[in-house]
Amino acid sequence: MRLRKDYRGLILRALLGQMFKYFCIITTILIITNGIIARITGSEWILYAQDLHRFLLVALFAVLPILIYAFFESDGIILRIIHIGLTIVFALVPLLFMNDTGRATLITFLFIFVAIYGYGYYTEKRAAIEINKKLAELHLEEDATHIDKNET
Amino acid sequence: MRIIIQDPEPGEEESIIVNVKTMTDKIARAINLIKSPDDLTVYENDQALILPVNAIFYVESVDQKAFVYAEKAVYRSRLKLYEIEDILGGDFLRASKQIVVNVRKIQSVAPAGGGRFFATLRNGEKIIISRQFVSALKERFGL
Repeated sequence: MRLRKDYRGLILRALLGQMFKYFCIITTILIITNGIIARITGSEWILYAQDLHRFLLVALFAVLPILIYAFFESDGIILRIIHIGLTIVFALVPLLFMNDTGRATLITFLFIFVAIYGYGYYTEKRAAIEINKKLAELHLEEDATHIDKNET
Repeated sequence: MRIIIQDPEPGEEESIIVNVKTMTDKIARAINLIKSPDDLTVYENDQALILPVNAIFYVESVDQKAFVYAEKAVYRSRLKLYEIEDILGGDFLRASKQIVVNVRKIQSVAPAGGGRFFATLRNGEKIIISRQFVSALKERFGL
Protein backbone atom coordinates (compact mmCIF):
# COMPACT_ATOMS: atom_id res chain seq x y z
CA MET A 1 0.00 0.00 0.00
CA ARG A 2 1.41 3.36 -0.98
CA LEU A 3 0.49 6.77 0.35
CA ARG A 4 -1.24 9.06 -2.11
CA LYS A 5 1.18 11.35 -3.86
CA ASP A 6 -0.26 14.40 -2.08
CA TYR A 7 0.64 13.06 1.36
CA ARG A 8 3.87 11.28 0.51
CA GLY A 9 6.65 12.39 2.83
CA LEU A 10 4.11 13.80 5.29
CA ILE A 11 5.01 11.43 8.12
CA LEU A 12 8.72 11.74 7.45
CA ARG A 13 8.52 15.51 7.54
CA ALA A 14 6.52 15.35 10.78
CA LEU A 15 9.20 13.12 12.30
CA LEU A 16 12.19 15.15 11.19
CA GLY A 17 10.70 18.57 11.48
CA GLN A 18 8.93 20.26 14.35
CA MET A 19 8.52 17.06 16.38
CA PHE A 20 12.07 17.10 17.73
CA LYS A 21 11.63 20.66 18.87
CA TYR A 22 8.66 19.59 21.02
CA PHE A 23 10.59 16.53 22.18
CA CYS A 24 13.35 18.81 23.43
CA ILE A 25 10.90 21.13 25.15
CA ILE A 26 9.26 18.20 26.93
CA THR A 27 12.66 16.82 27.92
CA THR A 28 13.61 20.15 29.43
CA ILE A 29 10.33 20.41 31.33
CA LEU A 30 10.70 16.84 32.65
CA ILE A 31 14.29 17.42 33.69
CA ILE A 32 13.53 20.68 35.46
CA THR A 33 10.46 19.15 37.16
CA ASN A 34 12.46 16.10 38.20
CA GLY A 35 15.24 18.30 39.52
CA ILE A 36 12.80 20.21 41.70
CA ILE A 37 11.08 17.03 42.93
CA ALA A 38 14.43 15.32 43.55
CA ARG A 39 15.63 18.30 45.59
CA ILE A 40 12.47 18.30 47.69
CA THR A 41 11.86 14.56 48.13
CA GLY A 42 15.21 12.96 47.35
CA SER A 43 13.47 10.60 44.87
CA GLU A 44 15.02 9.37 41.61
CA TRP A 45 12.07 8.93 39.34
CA ILE A 46 13.57 9.89 36.02
CA LEU A 47 17.10 11.06 36.49
CA TYR A 48 20.07 9.44 38.10
CA ALA A 49 21.50 12.93 38.54
CA GLN A 50 20.70 14.49 41.84
CA ASP A 51 23.72 16.68 42.04
CA LEU A 52 23.11 20.17 40.80
CA HIS A 53 26.02 20.27 38.35
CA ARG A 54 24.93 17.05 36.62
CA PHE A 55 21.36 18.32 36.51
CA LEU A 56 22.48 21.57 34.88
CA LEU A 57 24.62 19.70 32.34
CA VAL A 58 21.71 17.50 31.29
CA ALA A 59 19.37 20.51 31.14
CA LEU A 60 21.88 22.29 28.90
CA PHE A 61 21.94 19.39 26.46
CA ALA A 62 18.16 19.42 26.33
CA VAL A 63 17.98 23.18 25.79
CA LEU A 64 20.67 23.34 23.07
CA PRO A 65 18.45 21.86 20.32
CA ILE A 66 15.81 24.49 21.11
CA LEU A 67 18.45 27.20 20.77
CA ILE A 68 19.61 25.66 17.50
CA TYR A 69 16.06 25.85 16.15
CA ALA A 70 15.65 29.39 17.43
CA PHE A 71 18.82 30.79 15.89
CA PHE A 72 19.66 28.58 12.95
CA GLU A 73 16.49 28.09 10.90
CA SER A 74 17.42 27.65 7.29
CA ASP A 75 15.81 26.80 3.98
CA GLY A 76 18.98 25.33 2.46
CA ILE A 77 18.82 21.52 2.29
CA ILE A 78 22.39 20.88 3.53
CA LEU A 79 22.02 23.27 6.45
CA ARG A 80 18.67 21.73 7.25
CA ILE A 81 20.23 18.23 7.36
CA ILE A 82 23.03 19.45 9.63
CA HIS A 83 20.52 21.30 11.78
CA ILE A 84 18.29 18.27 12.21
CA GLY A 85 21.28 15.96 12.76
CA LEU A 86 22.66 18.12 15.57
CA THR A 87 19.19 18.37 17.08
CA ILE A 88 18.79 14.60 17.12
CA VAL A 89 22.21 14.13 18.75
CA PHE A 90 21.62 16.71 21.46
CA ALA A 91 18.04 15.62 22.09
CA LEU A 92 19.08 12.00 22.65
CA VAL A 93 21.89 12.78 25.13
CA PRO A 94 19.55 13.19 28.13
CA LEU A 95 18.38 9.61 27.55
CA LEU A 96 21.86 8.45 28.57
CA PHE A 97 21.35 9.92 32.04
CA MET A 98 17.97 8.34 32.60
CA ASN A 99 16.83 5.09 34.11
CA ASP A 100 14.49 2.70 32.27
CA THR A 101 11.37 4.41 33.61
CA GLY A 102 12.58 7.76 32.36
CA ARG A 103 13.47 6.42 28.94
CA ALA A 104 10.15 4.64 28.60
CA THR A 105 8.32 7.84 29.63
CA LEU A 106 10.17 9.96 27.12
CA ILE A 107 9.78 7.52 24.28
CA THR A 108 6.05 7.33 25.04
CA PHE A 109 5.83 11.11 24.91
CA LEU A 110 7.73 10.98 21.62
CA PHE A 111 5.20 8.66 20.00
CA ILE A 112 2.26 10.63 21.36
CA PHE A 113 3.69 13.81 19.89
CA VAL A 114 4.37 12.16 16.54
CA ALA A 115 0.75 10.94 16.46
CA ILE A 116 -0.73 14.30 17.45
CA TYR A 117 1.54 16.34 15.25
CA GLY A 118 1.23 13.94 12.32
CA TYR A 119 -2.57 14.05 12.51
CA GLY A 120 -2.54 17.83 12.79
CA TYR A 121 -0.26 18.13 9.76
CA TYR A 122 -2.46 15.68 7.81
CA THR A 123 -5.62 17.75 8.39
CA GLU A 124 -3.79 20.95 7.49
CA LYS A 125 -2.46 19.39 4.31
CA ARG A 126 -6.01 18.35 3.33
CA ALA A 127 -7.26 21.89 4.00
CA ALA A 128 -4.42 23.33 1.90
CA ILE A 129 -5.32 21.03 -1.01
CA GLU A 130 -8.97 22.18 -0.89
CA ILE A 131 -7.95 25.85 -0.69
CA ASN A 132 -5.56 25.41 -3.63
CA LYS A 133 -8.38 23.90 -5.72
CA LYS A 134 -10.54 26.95 -4.98
CA LEU A 135 -7.64 29.27 -5.79
CA ALA A 136 -7.15 27.50 -9.13
CA GLU A 137 -10.86 28.03 -9.93
CA LEU A 138 -10.55 31.69 -8.97
CA HIS A 139 -7.54 32.16 -11.25
CA LEU A 140 -9.36 30.44 -14.12
CA GLU A 141 -12.34 32.78 -13.68
CA GLU A 142 -10.05 35.81 -13.68
CA ASP A 143 -8.15 34.65 -16.75
CA ALA A 144 -11.44 34.00 -18.57
CA THR A 145 -12.72 37.50 -17.64
CA HIS A 146 -9.45 39.01 -18.84
CA ILE A 147 -9.72 37.21 -22.18
CA ASP A 148 -13.38 38.32 -22.59
CA LYS A 149 -12.45 41.94 -21.91
CA ASN A 150 -9.61 41.78 -24.42
CA GLU A 151 -11.90 40.31 -27.05
CA THR A 152 -14.51 43.06 -26.53
CA MET B 1 -31.09 34.06 -11.93
CA ARG B 2 -31.83 36.86 -14.39
CA ILE B 3 -29.50 39.81 -14.76
CA ILE B 4 -31.12 42.98 -16.07
CA ILE B 5 -29.05 46.00 -17.08
CA GLN B 6 -30.96 49.13 -18.01
CA ASP B 7 -30.28 52.80 -18.52
CA PRO B 8 -31.45 55.07 -15.66
CA GLU B 9 -34.16 57.64 -16.28
CA PRO B 10 -32.79 61.17 -16.92
CA GLY B 11 -31.82 62.68 -13.60
CA GLU B 12 -32.08 59.32 -11.85
CA GLU B 13 -29.09 58.22 -9.80
CA GLU B 14 -27.28 55.05 -10.90
CA SER B 15 -28.13 52.21 -8.55
CA ILE B 16 -27.91 48.48 -8.19
CA ILE B 17 -30.89 46.63 -6.73
CA VAL B 18 -30.45 43.02 -5.65
CA ASN B 19 -33.63 40.92 -5.39
CA VAL B 20 -32.83 37.71 -3.56
CA LYS B 21 -34.74 35.30 -1.35
CA THR B 22 -31.54 34.00 0.27
CA MET B 23 -28.23 35.82 0.48
CA THR B 24 -25.59 33.39 -0.81
CA ASP B 25 -21.81 33.73 -0.52
CA LYS B 26 -21.56 34.44 -4.24
CA ILE B 27 -24.05 37.32 -4.05
CA ALA B 28 -22.41 38.67 -0.89
CA ARG B 29 -19.04 38.64 -2.65
CA ALA B 30 -20.49 40.41 -5.68
CA ILE B 31 -21.97 43.11 -3.44
CA ASN B 32 -18.68 43.46 -1.58
CA LEU B 33 -16.87 43.82 -4.86
CA ILE B 34 -19.20 46.58 -5.99
CA LYS B 35 -18.91 48.41 -2.67
CA SER B 36 -15.09 48.21 -2.63
CA PRO B 37 -13.17 51.08 -4.08
CA ASP B 38 -11.37 50.67 -7.41
CA ASP B 39 -8.19 52.33 -6.26
CA LEU B 40 -6.19 53.50 -3.29
CA THR B 41 -4.04 56.59 -2.78
CA VAL B 42 -0.46 55.66 -2.02
CA TYR B 43 2.82 57.53 -1.84
CA GLU B 44 6.18 56.98 -3.45
CA ASN B 45 8.93 59.37 -2.31
CA ASP B 46 6.22 61.67 -0.95
CA GLN B 47 4.54 61.79 -4.34
CA ALA B 48 0.88 60.75 -4.31
CA LEU B 49 -0.17 58.03 -6.73
CA ILE B 50 -3.45 56.31 -7.50
CA LEU B 51 -2.94 52.56 -7.33
CA PRO B 52 -5.65 50.24 -8.68
CA VAL B 53 -6.84 47.92 -5.93
CA ASN B 54 -6.44 44.87 -8.17
CA ALA B 55 -2.71 45.67 -8.41
CA ILE B 56 -2.24 45.35 -4.65
CA PHE B 57 -0.72 42.07 -3.50
CA TYR B 58 -0.66 42.75 0.23
CA VAL B 59 -0.38 45.52 2.79
CA GLU B 60 2.04 45.25 5.69
CA SER B 61 2.31 47.30 8.83
CA VAL B 62 5.84 47.96 10.11
CA ASP B 63 6.49 50.34 13.02
CA GLN B 64 2.89 51.54 12.74
CA LYS B 65 3.39 52.53 9.11
CA ALA B 66 1.49 50.80 6.32
CA PHE B 67 3.35 49.63 3.22
CA VAL B 68 1.41 48.63 0.11
CA TYR B 69 3.06 45.92 -1.98
CA ALA B 70 2.30 45.67 -5.71
CA GLU B 71 3.89 43.06 -7.97
CA LYS B 72 7.35 44.60 -7.92
CA ALA B 73 7.01 47.99 -6.21
CA VAL B 74 6.33 49.06 -2.63
CA TYR B 75 4.42 52.19 -1.67
CA ARG B 76 3.59 53.97 1.57
CA SER B 77 0.09 54.68 2.74
CA ARG B 78 -0.89 57.33 5.23
CA LEU B 79 -3.69 55.18 6.55
CA LYS B 80 -3.39 52.58 9.31
CA LEU B 81 -3.60 48.91 8.41
CA TYR B 82 -7.05 48.46 9.95
CA GLU B 83 -8.34 51.49 8.02
CA ILE B 84 -7.02 50.06 4.75
CA GLU B 85 -8.55 46.71 5.62
CA ASP B 86 -11.95 48.38 6.19
CA ILE B 87 -11.72 50.35 2.94
CA LEU B 88 -10.58 47.48 0.74
CA GLY B 89 -12.79 44.76 2.26
CA GLY B 90 -13.93 42.09 -0.25
CA ASP B 91 -10.98 40.08 -1.44
CA PHE B 92 -8.59 41.43 1.20
CA LEU B 93 -8.20 39.23 4.23
CA ARG B 94 -6.11 39.58 7.36
CA ALA B 95 -3.20 37.09 7.20
CA SER B 96 -1.54 38.12 10.45
CA LYS B 97 -1.48 41.04 12.85
CA GLN B 98 0.78 42.90 10.42
CA ILE B 99 -0.44 41.78 7.00
CA VAL B 100 -3.62 42.08 4.94
CA VAL B 101 -3.42 40.02 1.74
CA ASN B 102 -5.32 40.13 -1.56
CA VAL B 103 -6.74 36.63 -1.85
CA ARG B 104 -6.76 36.90 -5.67
CA LYS B 105 -3.00 37.29 -5.62
CA ILE B 106 -2.39 34.06 -3.71
CA GLN B 107 -1.01 31.41 -6.05
CA SER B 108 -1.05 28.52 -3.55
CA VAL B 109 -0.92 27.67 0.15
CA ALA B 110 0.99 25.01 2.08
CA PRO B 111 0.97 23.98 5.75
CA ALA B 112 3.68 25.60 7.81
CA GLY B 113 3.11 23.60 11.00
CA GLY B 114 1.43 24.77 14.18
CA GLY B 115 -1.81 25.56 12.34
CA ARG B 116 -0.18 28.19 10.14
CA PHE B 117 0.02 28.30 6.35
CA PHE B 118 2.62 29.55 3.89
CA ALA B 119 0.94 31.52 1.11
CA THR B 120 2.92 31.85 -2.12
CA LEU B 121 1.82 34.92 -4.04
CA ARG B 122 1.66 35.25 -7.81
CA ASN B 123 4.90 37.28 -7.84
CA GLY B 124 6.76 34.51 -5.98
CA GLU B 125 6.76 36.17 -2.58
CA LYS B 126 5.81 34.10 0.45
CA ILE B 127 3.90 35.26 3.49
CA ILE B 128 2.72 33.46 6.59
CA ILE B 129 -0.97 33.16 7.40
CA SER B 130 -1.26 32.95 11.20
CA ARG B 131 -3.30 30.25 12.85
CA GLN B 132 -5.97 32.64 14.09
CA PHE B 133 -6.66 33.92 10.57
CA VAL B 134 -6.67 30.60 8.72
CA SER B 135 -10.35 30.07 9.51
CA ALA B 136 -11.25 33.33 7.74
CA LEU B 137 -9.39 32.09 4.66
CA LYS B 138 -11.23 28.77 4.75
CA GLU B 139 -14.55 30.60 5.21
CA ARG B 140 -13.74 32.79 2.21
CA PHE B 141 -13.68 29.65 0.08
CA GLY B 142 -16.68 28.07 1.76
CA LEU B 143 -14.63 25.36 3.51
